[in-house]
Amino acid sequence: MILYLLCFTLLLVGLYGILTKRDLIKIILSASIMGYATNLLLILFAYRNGSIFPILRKGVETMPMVDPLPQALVLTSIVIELGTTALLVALALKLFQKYKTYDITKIRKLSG
Amino acid sequence: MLNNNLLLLILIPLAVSFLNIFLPTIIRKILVFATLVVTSVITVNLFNANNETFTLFSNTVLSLDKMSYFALAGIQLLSFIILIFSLKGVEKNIEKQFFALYPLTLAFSNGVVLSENSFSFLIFWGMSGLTLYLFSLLGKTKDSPQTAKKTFIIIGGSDAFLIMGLALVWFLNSGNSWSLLSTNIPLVDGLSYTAFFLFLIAAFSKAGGFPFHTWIPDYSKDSPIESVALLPASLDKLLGIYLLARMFTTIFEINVIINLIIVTLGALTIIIAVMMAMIQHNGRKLLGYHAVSQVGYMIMGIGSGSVLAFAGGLFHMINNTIYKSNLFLTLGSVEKRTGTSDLDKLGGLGKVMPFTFIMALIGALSISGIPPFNGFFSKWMIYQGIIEKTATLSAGYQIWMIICLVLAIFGSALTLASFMKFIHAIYLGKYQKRFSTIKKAPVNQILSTGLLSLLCIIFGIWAIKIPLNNFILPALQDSGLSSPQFIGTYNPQLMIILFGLAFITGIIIFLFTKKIKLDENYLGGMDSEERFRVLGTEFYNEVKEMTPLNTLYKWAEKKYFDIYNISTKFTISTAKLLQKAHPGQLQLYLLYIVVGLLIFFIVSLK
Amino acid sequence: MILPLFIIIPLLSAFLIAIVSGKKDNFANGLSIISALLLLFGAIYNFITQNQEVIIYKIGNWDAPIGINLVQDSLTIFMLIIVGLISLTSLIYSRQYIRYISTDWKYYSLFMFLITGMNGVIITGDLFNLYVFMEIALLSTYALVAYGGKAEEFEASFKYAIMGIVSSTFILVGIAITYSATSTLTLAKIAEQIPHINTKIVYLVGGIFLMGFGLKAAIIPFHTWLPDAHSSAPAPISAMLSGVMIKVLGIYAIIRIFYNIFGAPEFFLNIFMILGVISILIAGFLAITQWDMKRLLAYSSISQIGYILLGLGIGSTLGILGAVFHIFNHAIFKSLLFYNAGSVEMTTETRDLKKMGNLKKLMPVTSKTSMIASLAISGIPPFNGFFSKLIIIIAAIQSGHPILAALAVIGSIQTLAALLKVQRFGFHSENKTEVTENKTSFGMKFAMITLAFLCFAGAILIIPGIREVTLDPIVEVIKNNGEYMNMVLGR
Repeated sequence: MILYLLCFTLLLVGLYGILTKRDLIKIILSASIMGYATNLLLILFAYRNGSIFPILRKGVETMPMVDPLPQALVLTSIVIELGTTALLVALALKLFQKYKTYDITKIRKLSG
Repeated sequence: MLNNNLLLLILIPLAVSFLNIFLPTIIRKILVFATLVVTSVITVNLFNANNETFTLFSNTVLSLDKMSYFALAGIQLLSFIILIFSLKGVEKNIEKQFFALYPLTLAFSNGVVLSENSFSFLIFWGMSGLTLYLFSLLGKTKDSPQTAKKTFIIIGGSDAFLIMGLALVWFLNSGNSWSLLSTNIPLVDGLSYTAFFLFLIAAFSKAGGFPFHTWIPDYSKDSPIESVALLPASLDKLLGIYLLARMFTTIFEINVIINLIIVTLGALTIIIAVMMAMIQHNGRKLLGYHAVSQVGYMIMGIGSGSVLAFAGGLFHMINNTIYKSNLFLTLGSVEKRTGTSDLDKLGGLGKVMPFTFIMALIGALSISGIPPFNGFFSKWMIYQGIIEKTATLSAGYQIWMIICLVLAIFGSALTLASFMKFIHAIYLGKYQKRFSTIKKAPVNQILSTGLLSLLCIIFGIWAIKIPLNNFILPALQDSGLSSPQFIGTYNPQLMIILFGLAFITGIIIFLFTKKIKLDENYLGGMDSEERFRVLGTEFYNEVKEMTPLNTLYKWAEKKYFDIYNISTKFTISTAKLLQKAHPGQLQLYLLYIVVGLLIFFIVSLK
Repeated sequence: MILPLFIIIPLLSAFLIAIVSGKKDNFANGLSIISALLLLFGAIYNFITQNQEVIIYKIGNWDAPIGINLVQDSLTIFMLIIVGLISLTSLIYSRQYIRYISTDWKYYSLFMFLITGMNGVIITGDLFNLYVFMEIALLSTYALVAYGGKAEEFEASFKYAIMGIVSSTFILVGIAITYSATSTLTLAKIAEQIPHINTKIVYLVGGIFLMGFGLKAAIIPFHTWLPDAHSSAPAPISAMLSGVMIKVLGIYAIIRIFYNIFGAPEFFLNIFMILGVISILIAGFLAITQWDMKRLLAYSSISQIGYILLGLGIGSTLGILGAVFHIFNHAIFKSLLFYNAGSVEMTTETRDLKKMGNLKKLMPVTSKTSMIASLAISGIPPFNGFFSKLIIIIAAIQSGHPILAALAVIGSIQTLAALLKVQRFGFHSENKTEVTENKTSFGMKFAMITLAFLCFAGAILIIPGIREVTLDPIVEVIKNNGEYMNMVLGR
């Protein structure tokens, strides 16, 4: 249970970062932290106490295994996050070129 | 399916309008004319028809009873006469669109009055509003885009209310049928009252009842004059009052309170609009306000709950369309010759445009309710009906009713006053040199206004014989009202004799005591200058400066009483607040998201 | 056309464009138009041949719980047709419009990825798969919003991306919780399990999904990205975003999850109704005061999404019919309005309504089509928007919510006021602009006229005989929410 709570806290940390930080890069990092927390959650859901990795081998007796599906999901999700983060960083660079600042509160031409 | 007369009344003009998109102007005119001939013939043939219906998807979509026949006949008549006026003289650059829109308007108006089914009614109703918008986009003045927008926001907005009204009626009718003719919803609870007032908004917006009338004066000022005569002066009145009449006969069961409210609204419409009309400097706007003011009488008549006044209201509807389009069209003739409708700049045109002057005079006398013209008798019927109704009410209501009646009669007097100004400003007054090159109006325009003037006289002298016995009383019976006990005391012949005697006496006295000498105006031996000319527009400047009217007029000119402006202001101030909530700050936006999620969880815990 | 082709064709053309195109965009444009055409005809072919059956394509021939299923029912085909139609016109429109920004193939490649993502979301029968395709679509839109390369565009794109990521993360959390509660990711299997799990978990997951997909659908209060992104993107992309994407990633996903899986719980329906009305009204107010033409249209999109949500929330047959019809109608007229805005922007080089003048003469096609679209979106008969709004209002009254109906009516007047503002200042204003050349090309006109025609023709879908084969089966899919599960699992 503690693990779940910690994982949830990590999610909140990411959310807190996005909500309060002004720096573009810190916002991107906070978004990544949220992503990690989610991945961790998926792995935790798959975990069964005292079980082994989910690969069948010849000659080894079948034992309780962890759920393999969330691990596959996490791999996919990591790839997606990689793509998103790369795009965000590129956007942040472009924003710096245009606005000469990394402060998100000063980047607000669009309003109303 | 295609041999159904009712369907043809809609399909023929519709088809012509589509064809007209691709044809040259001259053929457009011929086609529109031919269309109106055909639809008029069909309408005449339908006079004795009963139970004509058109069914689609096993629903009766179109049907004809005497009430819709009355409106239908009015539509064909007015469109025909106004078309004659439009055949020559519509501005060259809008002529093409004009003759494509004209049959479209006709088709949709016919559709409205023939529809029995709520859906088809709604669709035709909305589309006839759409043609109004398209006509107003043809306007050439500086304000015309703004006017077009305002007009269509009021008209299109009222359509949306009508959707809800019809849906409510259907719901109250326990979801049985979408027929408009067999509902009879009793006004008992909140829902039925809501439905009633939603219908009322739609009818008032179309016809121009207070407080949804504000588009009419603007539209009259900025749109092509032929379209003004066609839509707000004629067809929209027919449609709006038609809906109102339906509401009071077949759709709802009315109680006394509603009668009083509607009569009050009618009286307010009369008095407010006529007060505004008195101070106008623009001829079109003046007529526009009168177009509103006259609606008040119809609303009073139909809303009062007396059968006699109801008949009077319907009669006044057709009378008003006749003389009001006459007035607009004569003004149109003047405007096309002189290039302005500004009363300050016109004057003395009676000499150069005598026919137009006579037609306008007949129109003005009719609208002011002078016997033997038609406006008199319909107003008279309404007054008598209201008095008859008042007698059956309890004391408190009686006083209320009487106040409204007095306001209406006072409004009638003011109408006469403001038309004296109108006639004086355009046709009388000093003859101006710069108008010496002005020619008479073209034949088609004189013919058209002449026909309308003739109708004014015919409907006045043979009021009972022609319109009442043939159209209005059958309409009343068909919609389940008993015939009025008496048609009011009115004897046109006697009236004419009395008035003739009075007139002749006047002339005799004038001849015997002739001591006046006519001469040109001069000032210190010189010809008088332009600035000493007596302008009709100045007649009622005193009224404008009277306290407390002066403040009210000032506010009215700033459009404080315009429902469109009030709602615009409200919308903009609300939106300004909401815009402040979107300052472009990412964190705030994310906060909305998180807060939204939290609110959901809090709500879901319960 | 077999289902995977709806993903393979755009995906393949995206890569083909990237590999084969040189510096010029002719090939890219041609190829993308061809594949969009194929997708549209494929969808129409499937519509004709479907016989109202559910078709399931098992990837790698694995059965439901193990392999990923692609599912085709009436709703799927309906959405595929919308995507095909709007993307086809959008690509035809882009040919000249995008050259005005740049002339390379990246735009078309990204566009194809966008279609891939959306088609994937539509046909997949697997929750995580839906998430992946959604991310593909989102990633390409982040890039496409910024495609113009101006400061505002990067700003809009960044904000959109951050909000999108937050919501996507939450969706993934929701998926994780769903998986741990039901041990499956196949939508139909989840639907089977839902009655057996704790309602608290359903509410938790439902709330997360509501927020996640609600953000994609731009439901107030999750709407803040939309006015920025939709007004900054190039016009054809705005049309794709407003016309299609918010419906596919937002509304379609909501329909699948809350109706076909959760079985349309009363509580969520009420929330939908309330959020729908809030969206209609607030966005209506905001739309009226905008002076930026595209921003005005963007806010009006939020308000129209409100109508769809209201119709869905009412939950009766009539309400869902209205919502489904409005999805189709809104796709058409909102895309058309964005094409008009793009054409005006190209000619006058401004989006500010105050600076526009009497464009009626200069741009007759744009002016007329935008008039049709404005009337259609404001619910003026005989255009298609009238009928969907009519149905939604009647449904609200029928289900005993006259107040919601009244608010929807007020929203309709707001829409009318906002769009007439566009007409009045954009096309019929009294100012004179100095622009003398109409830069709208044939392709752009073609796209606009096609959609304007559909604004008329769309109304025939409501005629009883036609409705029974087009819209009614879709309503059936949404209304009989258990049916989806039974069909997919083959019972």
